[in-house]
Amino acid sequence: MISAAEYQQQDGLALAELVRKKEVSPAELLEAALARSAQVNPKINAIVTPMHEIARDRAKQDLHGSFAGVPFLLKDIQEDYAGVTTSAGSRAFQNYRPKQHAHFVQRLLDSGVVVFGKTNTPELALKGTTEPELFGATRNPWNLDHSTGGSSGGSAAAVAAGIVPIAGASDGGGSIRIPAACCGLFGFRPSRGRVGSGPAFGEVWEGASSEHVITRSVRDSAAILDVLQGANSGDPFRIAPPERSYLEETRREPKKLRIAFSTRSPIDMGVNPECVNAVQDTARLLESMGHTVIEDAPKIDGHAVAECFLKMYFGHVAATVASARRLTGARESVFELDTRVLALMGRSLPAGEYVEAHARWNEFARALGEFHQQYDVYLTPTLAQPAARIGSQITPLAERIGVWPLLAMNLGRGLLRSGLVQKSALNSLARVPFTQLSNITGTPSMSVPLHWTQAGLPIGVHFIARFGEEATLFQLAAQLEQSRPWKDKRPSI
Amino acid sequence: MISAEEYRRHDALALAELVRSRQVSASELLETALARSAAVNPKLNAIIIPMHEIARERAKQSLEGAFAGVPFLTKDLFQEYAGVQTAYGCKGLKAANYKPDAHAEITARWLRAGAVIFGRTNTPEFGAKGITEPEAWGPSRNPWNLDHITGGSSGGSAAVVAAGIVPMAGANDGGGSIRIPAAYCGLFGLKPGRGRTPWGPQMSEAMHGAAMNHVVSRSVRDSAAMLDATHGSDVGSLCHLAAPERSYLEEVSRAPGKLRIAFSTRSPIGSAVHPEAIKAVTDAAKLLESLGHHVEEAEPQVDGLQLAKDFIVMWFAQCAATVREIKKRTGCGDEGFELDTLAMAAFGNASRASEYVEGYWRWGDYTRQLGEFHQKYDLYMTPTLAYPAPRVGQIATPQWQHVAMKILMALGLSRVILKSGMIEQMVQENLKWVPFTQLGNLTGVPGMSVPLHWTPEGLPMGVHFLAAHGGEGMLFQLAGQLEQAKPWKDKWPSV
Repeated sequence: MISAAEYQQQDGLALAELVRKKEVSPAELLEAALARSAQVNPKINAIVTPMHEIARDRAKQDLHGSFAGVPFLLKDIQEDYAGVTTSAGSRAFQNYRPKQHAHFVQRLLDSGVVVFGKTNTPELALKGTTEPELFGATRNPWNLDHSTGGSSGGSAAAVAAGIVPIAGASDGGGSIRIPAACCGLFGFRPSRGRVGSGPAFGEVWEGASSEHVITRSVRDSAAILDVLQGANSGDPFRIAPPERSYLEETRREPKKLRIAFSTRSPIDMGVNPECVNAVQDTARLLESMGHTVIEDAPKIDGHAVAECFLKMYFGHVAATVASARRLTGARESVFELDTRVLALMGRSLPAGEYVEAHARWNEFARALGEFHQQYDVYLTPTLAQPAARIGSQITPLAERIGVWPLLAMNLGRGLLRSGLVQKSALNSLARVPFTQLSNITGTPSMSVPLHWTQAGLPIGVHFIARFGEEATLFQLAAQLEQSRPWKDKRPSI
Repeated sequence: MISAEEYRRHDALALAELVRSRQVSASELLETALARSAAVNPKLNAIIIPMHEIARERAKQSLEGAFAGVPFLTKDLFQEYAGVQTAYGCKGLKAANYKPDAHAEITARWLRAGAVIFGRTNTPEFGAKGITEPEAWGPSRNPWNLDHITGGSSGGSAAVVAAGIVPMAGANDGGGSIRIPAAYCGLFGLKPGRGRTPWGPQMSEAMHGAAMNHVVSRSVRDSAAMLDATHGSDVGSLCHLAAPERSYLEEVSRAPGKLRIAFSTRSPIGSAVHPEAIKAVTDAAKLLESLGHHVEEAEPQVDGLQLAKDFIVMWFAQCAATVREIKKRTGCGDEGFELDTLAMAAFGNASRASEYVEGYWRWGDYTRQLGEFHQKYDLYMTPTLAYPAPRVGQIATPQWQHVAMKILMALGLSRVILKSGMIEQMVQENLKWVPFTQLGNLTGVPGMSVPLHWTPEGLPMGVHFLAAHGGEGMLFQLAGQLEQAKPWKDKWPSV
């Protein structure tokens, strides 16, 4: 057996090692996870679809792989487990059961994990907070009045609360890094094409979205990426494979890096002093490690990034809403109001304008690419603010009342031209203006938990590396983890 | 010096070898190319923007690279050369005498390989058609028969190579535009897989990776060696592919081993296929079998008609974006564009982002379906063309349709048309000539057309192969084998 405290202390690789040495069985680990879940999940609402029976059956089997026997949770969007609901946080999909595993899930199962549930996400993973109407808000283990961030908020909460050491996540605008930052965890976003989204998807959000995990330890994240990396048959292209295993990279000293940092919001909307502190503090730490640290930022118009990102959103939300009817028969009225507004925008936006906005991604990728010719890594805060209070990011009532008649009359053109939606979306981005650059340029990035506010809320610092250079980030993360370890920082929940 | 006849007989690598061994100078090669151009281009209308002075200057310099000193032409669609007029086949851009500030990355790589670029070749407006008959420059003509089309959109480049002006010329392919003109003109045309060649600095990817830059050439090894010189991402690329296992040039002379090759002669949109197109493939199947490959009739589980519709919807939206961009860049109005282009743009503006995205999602399905097929078969063979080259002007939009389009656009009825099933009619009318190539674009896999068949009237027909992602090397191996088994290097048009 394993004690609750011992279970929570170990990372995924350490638990797998205990299983391998037969000091504990997968079934015992699973029961430890379920016990912890029973204790804290009612408070944090992280797991929305339990899969206990499936997990108990699996834990009895002979499991192989680098994570054999490690309890695991999947995010309840994209990460299809055959026969189990993938709700995407939406009433429209609450009864949708995919027939086959996602490649992502199959690879994890092949590595031996024991999946015992699916975690909460905002509807269609569209927000930086995890408060879907379908399942209600997930709460931050560090302070239950606060948001976990999103969209992989359920997974972040489950890891932070010690239910599992690793949980599935995906990141199309910051959705791995934001909740990792809000919950004091390590969140890593791989390069575009590093992890496949098949068989259900070719690319998600024009390739802006990458799937991976949220973890406590850096090495768990690296070892999971070793499991997940590489195209599957039917993926849209094959990027260059890594030189060596990512796990090995975490044991290698990084070379002396040239690191640029900035604390200015790319959309000029203010950054909380705690977040500025986190970056400045990190800059000093990096310097003390021998890296060259310079204040500089790529020449990229953050407003343009936000606008182009938003137009992609419009098109994709509208297409998802349309596909819901085909997949599940769900009517549009079952979607949340914000989702319906975005869908209306996508139905009103001419395809030509969509293409034009997408074509501009090149400018950003090129500017960042040129910036990366000077700097190995670009450091910013992960969020512009500490985790918000639950409920504070819900669209205000007046705005909701305002858009109803437009929605009812399908007056999307008017709404689109009014710029109201764009303005409201920009307000939501004010909290999270740093992360989309990596999505739009396809570059790898990570949030590292290096700072806590005086009130005890975690703050992440964010790094972007060149396309394909996950290794640099893992080396750096491991170095930071060594010099400023966070593994004993635990919420009191 | 080098005689015209000798010049024509050498492929680009052989010419480069002559330069390297100082048997001929780059300037001499250039003058030979210019002389040949002066003799035949008036008939072909293939080179539309000459760059003789730039080329003469360059030929005097000391050049390095695999193609040092070899005369070369680029296509006037992207492939920009800094300071040289660039029109994309567009009336408005031509009138504005637009000159880019910087080389396209692909052009820079061609130059680094030592090519001496002396002009830009004809293309339909924005490369948007499978024929090369822009209003801005007039039609290119097929060296095999001047009454027939070269195909498109790299029709000018195919014509100059077929006519022996250059051994290889720049091309790009978003729906078949390398492979189609290569097939019509009796040449080798390979479209690399998504992300293999760069699109910078203007684009990270063209049409979500559907469109790729490369060349049309006479010899397989020229195409391979040029891809060796140009592959790999650039600073703004959105996908950075795994590098090839070995050089493509090396692949050309490697035995492909015993391949599993599926073939089909059925049009994926259900349209008719000319007996000569079928014969091209069935003959090739016999040849491949005799070479020891396993050949069987099979096709991937892809809804070809839906794919064609998704292709056209994407194409219209791209066209709408391009028209807006050119209007911004030049200040021109609708008079700067052909009516067909305006109609495509109107449809692109009439369709919605949501519809566009739903169509794009299906690309993922097609890619997966073809990926599954490629787990059983190494290669998928079809005709490149459904018909031998039509006559010049035969595919142009009829006048009555022009009038109808004008009226509909004036009334703002593009959306009504979109809903009325006209898309399917447009698919049938436009793609029935060339329904086979778009599969390779939307799935991003590499494909090639190999000139293995000529009709009794002497018009070339290509045979088309698709490999799985990363399969350029395998295509070059097979093409090298076919070039040996059924050589085409002594087949020349009489122009």
